[in-house]
Amino acid sequence: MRALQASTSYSAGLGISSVTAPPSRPRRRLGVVAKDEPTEKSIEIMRKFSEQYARKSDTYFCVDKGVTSVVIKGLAEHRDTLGAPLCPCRHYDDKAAEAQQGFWNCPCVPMRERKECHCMLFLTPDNDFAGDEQAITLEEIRETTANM
Amino acid sequence: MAIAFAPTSKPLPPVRAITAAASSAYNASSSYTPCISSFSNGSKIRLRNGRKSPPLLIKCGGGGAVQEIDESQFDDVVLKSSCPVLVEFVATWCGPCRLIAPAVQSLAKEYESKLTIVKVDHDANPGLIEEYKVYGLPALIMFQNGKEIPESRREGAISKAKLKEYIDKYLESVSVV
Repeated sequence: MRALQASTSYSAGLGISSVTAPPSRPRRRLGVVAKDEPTEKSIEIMRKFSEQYARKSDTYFCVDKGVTSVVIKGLAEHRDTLGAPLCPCRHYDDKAAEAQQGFWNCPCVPMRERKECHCMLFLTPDNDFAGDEQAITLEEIRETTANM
Repeated sequence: MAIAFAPTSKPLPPVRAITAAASSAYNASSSYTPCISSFSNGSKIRLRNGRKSPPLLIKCGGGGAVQEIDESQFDDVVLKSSCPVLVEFVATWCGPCRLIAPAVQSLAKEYESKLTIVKVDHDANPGLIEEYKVYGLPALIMFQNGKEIPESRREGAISKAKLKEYIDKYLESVSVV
């Protein structure tokens, strides 16, 4: 409902004709088990965002890129279903409300304020689990999450 | 003819005896009825026990593996367990959950005889999440005697060494009590 309204006002605001269909509803159930694969497009968007933000914040990906990959996919999944990259390492009583509120949308407030990413996507160099890379390829994401 | 039969009818007594036994059994059957019903009661009791007992028979450690359970199993596997149970709340796309999985797995094996370790998916079990107020993932909570051990909850990634320390601390406090 919310997404629909938003898309309406969005198209109206840009003066797009009313013929413009609202973005096809993310093809999934709302908030059941999150086992579905996120879309390629969202994975790519979140991958690029992660690389950029790591550089910007002087943080590094986990030495185990599988962790990075899983989180990027989780963010992509939430982007698909909620319209925002809500942190995938927390439980929310109401995901939609949380995504709109924004505190836990990546980069979350603790990350922006204190470089605290409990999801371990962005690690400060002093973290035991920090690797020395700020880049990850789509191929790496695919490989490390292949058997999930 | 009848006389001729008489000797041969000697084995009759046993026959008669059998008949008698049969008839007595038949007669007795009415008096046996309560026995039969009590027997069937007995079997019902056994069934009832049978339904309840598997969780009690589960050995600590669940065979040294981390078993994934859902809300419907939580009572039996965690709350009614005779040994301490470490519950790990996880999510599919949670990096640190994935990071600690091998350590948790290996400790499940190491502590097989003293501790059961289970994991619970947060998305699929909102009732449990609500009851135990879990937000950050992964979340670890230790249970003993049907209750959460106070202050045993931990959130986020943990190294294998720290996890071992954590488990030892609670196993010690449990055995002291």
